[in-house]
Order: sequence, then structure tokens, then C-alpha cells
Amino acid sequence: MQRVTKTINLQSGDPEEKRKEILMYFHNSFDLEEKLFETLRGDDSYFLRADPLRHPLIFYFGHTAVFYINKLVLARILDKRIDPKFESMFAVGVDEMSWDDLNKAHYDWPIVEAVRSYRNKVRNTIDRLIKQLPLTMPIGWGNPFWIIMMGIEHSRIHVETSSVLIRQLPRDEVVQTDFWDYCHEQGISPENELLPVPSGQVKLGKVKDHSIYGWDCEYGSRKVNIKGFNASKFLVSNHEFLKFIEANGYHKKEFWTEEGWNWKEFQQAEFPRFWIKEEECWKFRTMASIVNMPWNWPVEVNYLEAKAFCNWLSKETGINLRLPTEAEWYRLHDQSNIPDQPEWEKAPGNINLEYKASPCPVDKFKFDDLYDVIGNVWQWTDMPIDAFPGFDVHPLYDDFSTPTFDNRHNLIKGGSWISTGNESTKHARYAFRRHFYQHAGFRYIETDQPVILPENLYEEEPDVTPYCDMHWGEDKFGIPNYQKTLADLALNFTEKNSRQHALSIGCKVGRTAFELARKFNKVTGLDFTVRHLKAGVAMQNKEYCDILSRKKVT
Amino acid sequence: MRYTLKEEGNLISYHEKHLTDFGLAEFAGKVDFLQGDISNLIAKFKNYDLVLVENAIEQTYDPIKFLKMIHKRMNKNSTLIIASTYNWKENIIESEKRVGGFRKDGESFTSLDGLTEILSKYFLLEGQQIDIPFIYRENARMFKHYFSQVMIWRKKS
Repeated sequence: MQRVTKTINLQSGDPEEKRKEILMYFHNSFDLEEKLFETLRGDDSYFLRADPLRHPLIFYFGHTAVFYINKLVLARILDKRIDPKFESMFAVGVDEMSWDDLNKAHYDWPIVEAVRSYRNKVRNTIDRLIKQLPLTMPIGWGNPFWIIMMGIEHSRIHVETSSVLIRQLPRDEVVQTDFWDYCHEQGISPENELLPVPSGQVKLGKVKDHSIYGWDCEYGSRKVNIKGFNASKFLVSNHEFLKFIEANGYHKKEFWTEEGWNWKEFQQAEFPRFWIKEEECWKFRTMASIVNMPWNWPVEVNYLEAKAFCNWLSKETGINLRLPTEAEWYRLHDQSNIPDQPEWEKAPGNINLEYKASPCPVDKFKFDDLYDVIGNVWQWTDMPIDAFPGFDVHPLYDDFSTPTFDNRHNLIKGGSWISTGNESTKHARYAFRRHFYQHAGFRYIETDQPVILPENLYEEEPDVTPYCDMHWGEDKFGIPNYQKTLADLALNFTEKNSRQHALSIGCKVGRTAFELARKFNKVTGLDFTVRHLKAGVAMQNKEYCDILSRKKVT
Repeated sequence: MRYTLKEEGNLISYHEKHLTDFGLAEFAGKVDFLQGDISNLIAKFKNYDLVLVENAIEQTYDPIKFLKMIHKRMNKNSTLIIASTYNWKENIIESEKRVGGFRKDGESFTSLDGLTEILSKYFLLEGQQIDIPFIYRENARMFKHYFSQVMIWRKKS
């Protein structure tokens, strides 16, 4: 198998060449997963719950295969299931909720051999489909090969998340294989420093005909003007983080957010998840080994710990430090002129499995002035994920992103050593609950700019959304929009009169008021219910007015 | 603006709308949204050339008080448009505070009668009342079809 792969350019190329490329990418992805599960000591290890909030690894072994079949059936590309029981049992993972929301449900998992045999059937089915399905270029959202790519990229996400679960298994349940050998470079951690990043505008989001596969949340567009800031030269290393522990940071409530303190108290956390304290000596858990503490590797923590560290360091230094936002991370990226996957010859950072199967020293991969702008470990941002203006759900995977648009899932950027495919691209947007562990650490920045949380979440109130539809939805049964009809009537009737100020009473979510404003100098929309008005005010959000044309999904 | 809609059971759909889709973005700055109670409208709401009442009188607790007062908040030669389904909300409006839709002195007294009685003191009716339909979507397979009655009134000078 090929360890280093590139995600596929879906916009251009000869169809038959593309078919071969996708076939190879598929088999490499399937092989990679099986390579990962070779690190489990024996069949029993598959059934251990590495994390009390997640299914045991046997679920993930079956899940990625089942996903192909379920999506292809949903898309009516496949008309026959392979194993309906498996395709139900392995369909739905456990969404990480609160830290005390333990998954105690009992599952009657099949034996490993049965899942392996199922996987082989899936492999043959997908192989046949890739060889036989009509392939036309470009491959867009509606193309059957988009669904194949969805399955491949989905499995690559799980290679990474399962590698985290394997890292959480007891050491004697896993074996260190050569394929997953870790980085053997260790040394003294470099002194971190703040380096200037100039002001500039960043453009977030990608267009629908972008050349590579993307998840729904990556599309749309947002422009943000970033004021210059200073960024830490290196990701925070284990050694730099040690100072926080030695300053008793895990026991000082003042540095933690309320959510962070509650998590810490529940977990009784005293240090990062993959640190091991052996008497007076610190050790470190890689995916499959225990090694001496690599002080110059990036620390891996959850958002809550990263945030507490920033608050502590701010107080220590008297400098305003925090995590970068998503847009500020783009600024770092733009500044560093980094080629994106699949354009690079050799990965410019510790990413895409192009080096060893672990983090490496924070001063190994330099981008312009800063290190590890991409790769090594993911970087927590101070920004909860939300949809870009222009967002649409993919109809065949409508719950990939939307459940995370709740201001409780923060974005991670940059990718880690095991981030491959879509994960290792600039526009990848993954978000996790803030107490969640991934191969993720952080860099801090100095700025006086506050973090502005997303406001344009989905209106879901059942007594508001029908009015959103009535005012702004498509006409139904040939009946023209009521609010526009009323406003037009009023505008026709007042044509010869003074039109200074209009009062729109019962304005609900605002359409009538906006229509009246075509001719009136000023319109006041009045409603008894503030919740209705919020939706009208949301229409005035500048971000929505700036978009001149939007592309429909094809 | 983003919203979800109920499709069937637990299934929902996702929607995003922009003022630019409707050619309204350039007018956005002229609109203010304010919370208010039309049965007890505070004094700052005044000096209007147009008051358009969209299915609000049937949802407020004292519609008669509102109808008798609104002319004071309107400019000379201004226009009042009332759209209503006369679907007087029972849990909000006490029966004696309804504008019409009951028997008075033994005879039917419609909401149209009631509105005309009150408003003609302060306004002149322009043309005939008209019916305008609208649709309220419950879910993908269930819709309510309403007819609003719409009257246009010109303030007496």
C-alpha cells in the first residue's frame, strides 16, 4: 500500500485516468485503516471502551465500511444492501456530548472476523462500482463519485479519530508496529517568542467548484479584516506547558472558564491526558508506546486547558494573550505562503503521514518566521464553528455539520501528523466539543481584539420558523408572497403622498417592512414578540447583504 | 438569515436567505425593528404617513383601544391599512373587547361592521375591502390557507 496519498482533483482530468486515481485512493484508504487496527494487540482489544464517551473500536472498524453502503443506498446508486443488520448496528456513532454523559448502552457486537469479512465484501462492492459507474468530469455534489469520495474522506477522518482512541487504550492492549513508528527526535524545548503578523484581509470558505472534495461547512464565503497581531513562534511545547502545571494552574479557578473548571473538577485533571507521572518522572504516551517526556514536542490538550494556559500566561506576562480565531489562523497561513494539499511535492510540515507516526519537535518545520503553521498537531481556535454565508447542507449527509453549529464546538485548524486527505487541506473545518481530546495543541497570539462569537445560528423556534418561510420562502400553490402583496398595495396607494415614515405593525420576521423601505425613507417594524424581530434583524447582518450572487448546488 | 423547517416527524430542512435575493439589500439601513404593544402603544411611536397593520388586531388584547387611538399617531393625509383574518384569539381577547363577529341587538355584527363603525369616525374608506390569501406552512405536507380582508383608509383632515 501507499502510505502517502493525495486527495483527488475532482474538477479536471481525463475521466478514465480519474477512475484509476480514485480506485487507488480508495484501496489505499481501506488499507490504511486496516494497518491502523494492526496496532491492536488482539481481538479482545477491539471491544474495550477506550473512552467512556465513545463506542469501542470494533464499532469504528465496521462503521467506515457501513458508511459507504448506507450513503450509496440513500443515493440510490446501490439497490441492494450487503448486511442490513450490520448496516444498522454500525451506522451511528456516539456524538460527544457532555463529559459526564457516559454511554452505558449495551451492544451485542459481532466478532472481529465477522466485521473483517463484511469489510471485504464492501471493498469488493466499492471496487466494482468505481470500475463500472459512468464517470463524467467534473465531479460535483450530485455526481455518484462524490459519494464515493465522501466515503473515502469519511474513512480518513476516522483513521485519525481512531488513532486517538487507540492512544487512549491501555498500553498493553496495543503493539508498536514499524509502520506506526514514532519520531525519535527529542531535545530541549526552544524558548518561545512573539512575532508580528501584519494586518490584512482574509477570505474564508471555498467555492462550490473548488477542485477538491469538501464537507458542507467548508463552502460559502466570509471576508474578515484582521488587525495586526503577534503570534507565538512555536506551538506551545510540553516544556512550556509544564510551567503552568508547576504554577499550580490546574488548581487555580481564576484561570479557567466556568465550563473548563467544571470539566477539570469532574475529571480531576492534573495534567494533559497523554502525560504519565511515574514517581517524580514524566513519561509520555504516543499512539502505541510510552516514551520519555519529549519536552520539545507540542503539548496536546483540550480547548479548556489551552484557554486556561493563555489566561495564566497573560497574567504572568501582563500581555493580552489568547488563542487565534479561525480568521486569524487564515492570516498566519496566508502570511506563510504555504502550498495546499494536493499541490505540494513533499508536505511542508509534519502532516499527511509523510513523516513519523507522532508529533515531532516544535522547531523542526519552519514556515517563513513561524513554525508548524500546518501539521504536527491541530491547533485549537477561540472560535466556535458556524456556517459561512452561502452554506448549504449536502442532501446525503445532512447531519455532518449542522449539529455542531451551537457555539459549543470549537474549530481546530492546521492538521496533525496523521491528518490525510481533506483533513490536511487549508479549508478543512473540523470542530469538537471543547473538552474533547484530539491530536491537538495550540499557539497563542497577542492582540487587543476581542473574539466575536457567531450570531447567525439557525433559527429553530417552532413559532418563528413558519413565519421565516411565509416571508422569505418560495411561493406556494401559485399564491404570491403575502407580505410583498401587502407592501405593494401600500406603495401603489401612497404613490402621490408623503412617504417619510411608515409603521409596519405585526411585522414578524420583517419582509413587509423591508418591502416598504423601497419607497419610504424610514420604516419602523413593530412586533409584540422580540423573538420574531431577531430574525428580521438577522437579515440586516452586513455579511448577508454583501453577497451579490450565490451559486446553487447542482 | 438562517432557519430550519419541519419536514416530517423529526426531520428538518435548512434554509438561508439574503436580502440580496430579493433586491432589498440597499434598503436595509432604512428599517428599524422595535418591540411594542399596540394595545398600549408608547408615545414615541408617532408621525406616520402609513400604518400597515398586518394580522395584528386579532392578536392583541384590546384591539378597539388601538383602533380608536391610532389616528392620533398619524400625519395629515396619511394612510391606514388593516389586514385581518378576524380570527380573534380567544385566549388573548375577552369577548366584549372584540371588534365584531357576534350578535348585536339580535343581529349579526361582523368584524367588517365593527371596523367600519370605529374607523369611519377618523378615516375615509378608500374603495372596497379586498381579500388576499396567504399560506402558513406547518410541515412539508400540511399548510393552512388563510384569507385576509384588507381595507384601506385615508385619514380625515
